[in-house]
Amino acid sequence: MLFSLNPAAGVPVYLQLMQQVRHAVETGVLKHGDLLPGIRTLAQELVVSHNTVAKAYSELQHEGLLELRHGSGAYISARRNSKSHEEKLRLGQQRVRRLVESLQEDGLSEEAISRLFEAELFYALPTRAPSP
Amino acid sequence: MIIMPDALVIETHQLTKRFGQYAAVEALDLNVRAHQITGFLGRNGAGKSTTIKMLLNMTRPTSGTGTLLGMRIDDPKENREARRSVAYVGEDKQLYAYMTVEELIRFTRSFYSEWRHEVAQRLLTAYQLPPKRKVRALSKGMRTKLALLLALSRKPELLILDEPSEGLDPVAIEELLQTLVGAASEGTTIFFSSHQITEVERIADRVCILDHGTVVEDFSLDELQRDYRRVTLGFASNPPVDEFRMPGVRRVRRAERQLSVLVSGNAEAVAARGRSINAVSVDVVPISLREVFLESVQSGS
Amino acid sequence: MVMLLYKAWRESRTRFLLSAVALAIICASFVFFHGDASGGIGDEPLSYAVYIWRITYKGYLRELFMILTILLGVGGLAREREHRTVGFTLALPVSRWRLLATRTLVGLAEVVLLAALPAIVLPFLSPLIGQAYPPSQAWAFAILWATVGSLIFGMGLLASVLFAGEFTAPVAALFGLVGYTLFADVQPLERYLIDIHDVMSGIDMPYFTEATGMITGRLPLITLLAVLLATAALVGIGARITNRQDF
Repeated sequence: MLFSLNPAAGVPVYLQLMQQVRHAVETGVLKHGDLLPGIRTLAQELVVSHNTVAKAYSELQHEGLLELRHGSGAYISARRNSKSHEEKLRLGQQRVRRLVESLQEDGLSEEAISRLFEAELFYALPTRAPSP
Repeated sequence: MIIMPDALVIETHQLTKRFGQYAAVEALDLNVRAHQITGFLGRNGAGKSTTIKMLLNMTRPTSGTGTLLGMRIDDPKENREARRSVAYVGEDKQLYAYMTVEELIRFTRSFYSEWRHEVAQRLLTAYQLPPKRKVRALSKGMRTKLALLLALSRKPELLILDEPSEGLDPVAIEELLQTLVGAASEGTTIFFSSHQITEVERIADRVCILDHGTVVEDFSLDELQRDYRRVTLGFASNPPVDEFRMPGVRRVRRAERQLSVLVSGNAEAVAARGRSINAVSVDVVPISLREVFLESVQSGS
Repeated sequence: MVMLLYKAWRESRTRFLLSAVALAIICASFVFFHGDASGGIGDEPLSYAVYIWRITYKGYLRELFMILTILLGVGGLAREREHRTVGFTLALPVSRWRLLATRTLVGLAEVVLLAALPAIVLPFLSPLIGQAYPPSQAWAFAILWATVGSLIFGMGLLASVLFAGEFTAPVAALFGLVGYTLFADVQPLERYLIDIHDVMSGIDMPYFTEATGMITGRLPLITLLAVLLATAALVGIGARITNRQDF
């Protein structure tokens, strides 16, 4: 697995690692059962602190994406529906926040934004595809 | 759940070293925790080497106190006890020229009961150090590797390095960084001083910036990447600098009708304040370690 | 500890061996050129013992010995600072006192060996030219030289602590030695300060007879003890200064 880490990207490196693993799993580059290098090995390969790798692995394990087996390494644990519901909510909230911020920068009031969302969700329903 | 922070391997309190009128280190409060890689950044002459020498009892502080692995640095006996578990690779990187690699290993080994012979052997092969060659015939890169071998064969609790990449070519630097990362992953706490920002940015968990003998910044790399931001605000009239004395603001610089605000957190609040006082443009961008360093050491505040 | 002694030995080995070889060769040449030299000053030919005494224990060999012992004192942390290894040495979990003590021990051993060299060479080689030099005489002088030599080594050691340069330290010690020699000749002090040159050569000393060139009386144990105490004092001062230095 190749990683591309940028310490000046404004995102903690361990998060970049996690995002890249998630992305790889989503696109199928990493499949269920694939083995990632051990913490120490990956740290030396990427020349980053092992704490960074450890944190990334620990969080990924928490999300259910990675299974750390003592001695044998870190296995990808990808289910068909790779994102858990909590995960989707969290990501969704981030996207909503960004959208709201940019609308506010354009000068829209909270009320106006809220009305836009309502309009989209409740009144435009018949024109949108049904959710899976 | 309360997570206890790791122990402090280095702690100084108002540590000062004066040479006559000149203060190389001034009221230094340094805290370095175990199980991390901490980078000690500063310009040449900022006081990094002097600080390290005081920690190792090579130089006596003018005033202030400090502990190394919990033991007082100004007490020769306690410091000596600490040095049993502390390895040091100085910026000089000179070792006894007249000894061979083998002889130097045998010499060093005799001082430490926790010497790991297998590690020394493994590193000897990995670093391709010819055992029978005299130290004076080794290149700087090989001497650095030898110094690392002597340090790591003891599995020290703390490894202190002073400008370790000085004089090394890029390949050697890469190998050095990998070695440090490897050692850290096996439990050795690493504290290294450098003025090479790229290296520190890559492997450090935490950074202390030293300027004119005192700590001006102390943050983790995660904090830097997640929270530190530069908020650039443009105004149609004279920008009110005083409006930004807020929590999280580290530095405010003014360039005509623009303000550059360096924040260690709370970027949104600063941006919102800017908008509330009619800033015509608000830009929030991440900031690199290099930029933080340059801003910390070039100006006053 | 053993390794520190080894280090001190390695760092002084060349100087010591060269000194030993030089002293041995010079003593040997004194023996072998006896035929040419003892024609001496005018009338009666000198006795072998007087000849040996004049040329070895009174003559320039004594000065050479003193200079060589000063040079043996060179080294230590100040010198390591020049060679940039001081960081490595001071990071070792040993006290500065121990570093100085091991260096002192090795140096003193070397001084004693150098002092013993004439005592080995002269009685051994003299029979080859049909002469005899009594070993007891040679060893008596060896004891005198070893003791005074220790003091001079102490001066060299203290100088190496105070002065960093590899030449500055021995030159400073030499100045110190010359200074002391001059002081010891000055009238009111003459009674109290030991003339170490005379102790080594025997001139004006109660235990030595110039006519026969032999040590006849008992060795001046009190004087020798005083010299050793002075040596210890110099080393002690060197240690205190070393402990306070910043590197």
